[in-house]
Amino acid sequence: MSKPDRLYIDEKDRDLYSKVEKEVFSNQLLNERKNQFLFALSIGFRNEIRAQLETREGFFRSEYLLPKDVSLINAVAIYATDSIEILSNIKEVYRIAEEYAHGGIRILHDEIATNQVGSYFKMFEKDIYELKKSLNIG
Amino acid sequence: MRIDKIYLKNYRQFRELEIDLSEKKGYDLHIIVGTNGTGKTNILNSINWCLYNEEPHLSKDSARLPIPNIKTIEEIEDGETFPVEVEVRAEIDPDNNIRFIRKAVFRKADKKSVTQQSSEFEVVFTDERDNTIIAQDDEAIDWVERTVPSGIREFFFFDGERLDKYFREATGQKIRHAVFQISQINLLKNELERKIEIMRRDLTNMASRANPNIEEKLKELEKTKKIISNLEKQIEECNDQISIAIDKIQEYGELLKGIPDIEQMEVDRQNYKNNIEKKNKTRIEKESDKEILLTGYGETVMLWPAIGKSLRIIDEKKNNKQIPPTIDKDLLDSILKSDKCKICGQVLDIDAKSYVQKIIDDTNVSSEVAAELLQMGFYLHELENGFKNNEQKIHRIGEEINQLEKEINENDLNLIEINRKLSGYDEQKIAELHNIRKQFEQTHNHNQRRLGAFIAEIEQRNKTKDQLQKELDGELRKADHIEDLKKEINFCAKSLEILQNTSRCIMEETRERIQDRTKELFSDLTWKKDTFRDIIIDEDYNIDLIHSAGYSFLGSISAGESELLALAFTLALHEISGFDAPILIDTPVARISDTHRNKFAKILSEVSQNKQVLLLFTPSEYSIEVSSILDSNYATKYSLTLSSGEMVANMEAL
Repeated sequence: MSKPDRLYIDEKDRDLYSKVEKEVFSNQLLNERKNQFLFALSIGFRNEIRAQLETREGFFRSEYLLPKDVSLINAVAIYATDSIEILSNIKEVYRIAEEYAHGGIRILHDEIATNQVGSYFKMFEKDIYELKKSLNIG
Repeated sequence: MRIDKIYLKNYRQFRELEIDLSEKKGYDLHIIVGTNGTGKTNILNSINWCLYNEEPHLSKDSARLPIPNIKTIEEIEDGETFPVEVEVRAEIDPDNNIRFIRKAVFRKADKKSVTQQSSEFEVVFTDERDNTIIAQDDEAIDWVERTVPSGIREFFFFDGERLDKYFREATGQKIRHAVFQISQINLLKNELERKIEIMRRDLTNMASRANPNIEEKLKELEKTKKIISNLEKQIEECNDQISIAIDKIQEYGELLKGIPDIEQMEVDRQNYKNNIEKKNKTRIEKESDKEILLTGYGETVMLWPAIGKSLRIIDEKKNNKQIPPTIDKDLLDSILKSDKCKICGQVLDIDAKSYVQKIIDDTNVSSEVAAELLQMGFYLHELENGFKNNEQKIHRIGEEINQLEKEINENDLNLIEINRKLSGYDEQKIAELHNIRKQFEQTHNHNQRRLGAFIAEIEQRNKTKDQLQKELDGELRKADHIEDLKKEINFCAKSLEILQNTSRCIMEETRERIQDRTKELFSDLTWKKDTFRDIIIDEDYNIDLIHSAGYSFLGSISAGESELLALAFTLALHEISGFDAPILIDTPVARISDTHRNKFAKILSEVSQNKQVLLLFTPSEYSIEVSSILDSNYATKYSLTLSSGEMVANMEAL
């Protein structure tokens, strides 16, 4: 099976990525599309929102994914399908990631829209520590 | 001299007023009590204006107003003229009176301005034949100089607010000048010395015609003397400049007292601004670093269920030896498809086929998936391990950001404080005042350096002069045929020497007498007799107070003691000088603590038994305690009040 050469977002999400750019994607790390996608994916996964893409639009080339990024995407796919065999279907692995990112970017956009400007990362930090505590990590 | 009456017409707050100070009653003590703004200090100014045509004690408010009374200006028509007059009637001795009268005519230009049209000053007195003499212009000024010389007026008329700083302001230079004037050495210097010097020069000139060597030496000597004279002038000029600079530094220091140092504050403000900018920049960088770390950390937390699950599967498979796979599932699939062993080439029978199929079924992880899992295991464990470390980094950066925010806040507060301090001030004007003071400080330092150089040079030139004088004397000795001339020249030289020695002796004797009398008076007056041992006025006329333990303590005495020392010194100066002038003190106890006010009042009262003392009090200064001492002794007591829309002062005898 050939490996997809890029990862996709929903056509409508492009506007959402632009809208959250100033508030969330302004730092050095998140100004890369790949990292924006992974962040949205994480948000979608954390909120268990996974939505099918209506009109697919290429977002970044899969070759930009680092082994660490691939590991995380794979882990999400394993979690979602409850099977390691999903790893033999890379197209499906990417699809799962895209669906979570599709859900995540919407949540992110809604959060930005309802919160005070400049406060996102403060809120995010608080939320992450609470989540860490509830997951009993570390 | 004592002041009998002061008459004021249209002078500042005073429309027309006569202050009668003729009564004595044993104590020649006169008291004027008035609140601020009623014109107490302007009584002091009026005497100065009358005698010296100056008003050295003007308040900031008065300085903005013209000399004439505001009410008078209001009442007359534009274009009209009116007089301003101050007369000081004084008693030189019981049978001899003198009147100092200064009149100025002003013209009202419009509602806001007046211009001085003319001014005249006259001194009226009675001569030996009972003729009334009116001295004007220079002659009148001469009379002032003979009775209350302008050069030492600050030793008669005081502003009590400044008395505690008396010895800081009255430098050795000023005191030397005062001693010089009161000892009348100027008569010796200007009259006799100068005349004998001219005589000697003329005689030597005559002698030089008989001997060319004498002429040559004389020329050199005259040249050197001229240089020395110029140097003396320059030294005097330097001293004047230094004295003016000290006064001005003090004056601007007073003006700037309590007012912020704009220049320094501007530097501070810029520093705070730069600090805030720098720290803000660092804070933004740190916040960006924190966001980056938080993004990665947050992703790990958010994806933790997936990461954890994958790691558990991977570790389990590793434990079960399922990964890395010992069997290549793809190879087995290929063998089964071809019915032939890919290793030994043997064709597979049914049993072999079913055995291979069993192995394939048992091997549930393909090598591709296994490789992926192994790689995942490595990176996910790396994430797990780095997790704690990232958390610490985030905390550390968070603390750094907090610290920076705290520092930015502090700088912000400092900036606000500076802006608060500067609000309401005319920054440009204050900067200008600081600048002027700085210029006077530079002038002072520059002239000090010049003075040092001139003193060194004059010492050298004096040595040259002495040498040339010896050589000239040698040449004169050789000239046998001008014996008479030589005798006359020698006589002049000896006379000059005697005169110079006399001058030195008088100066020294006067200094010593003032020193001893100051010590006696201070010793009588001071309430801390045990702590005080000696007063020294050194050859440079610097005054020092010696503690009973032997150390100098002028700089550490209280305002009251400082005023007392100033009073003792002044009384000594009056006594030794023979200038029996009154003492007039404006706000005499303003800077003295409550406990010492009574003592000071008592002392002033005692002083008034032998000298006219005029004291100008504010009502708060003239407290029950002070009045209980002075009320039984005063000869006259007046109260000053303002009326007519606070433009005219009225005086009432109490």
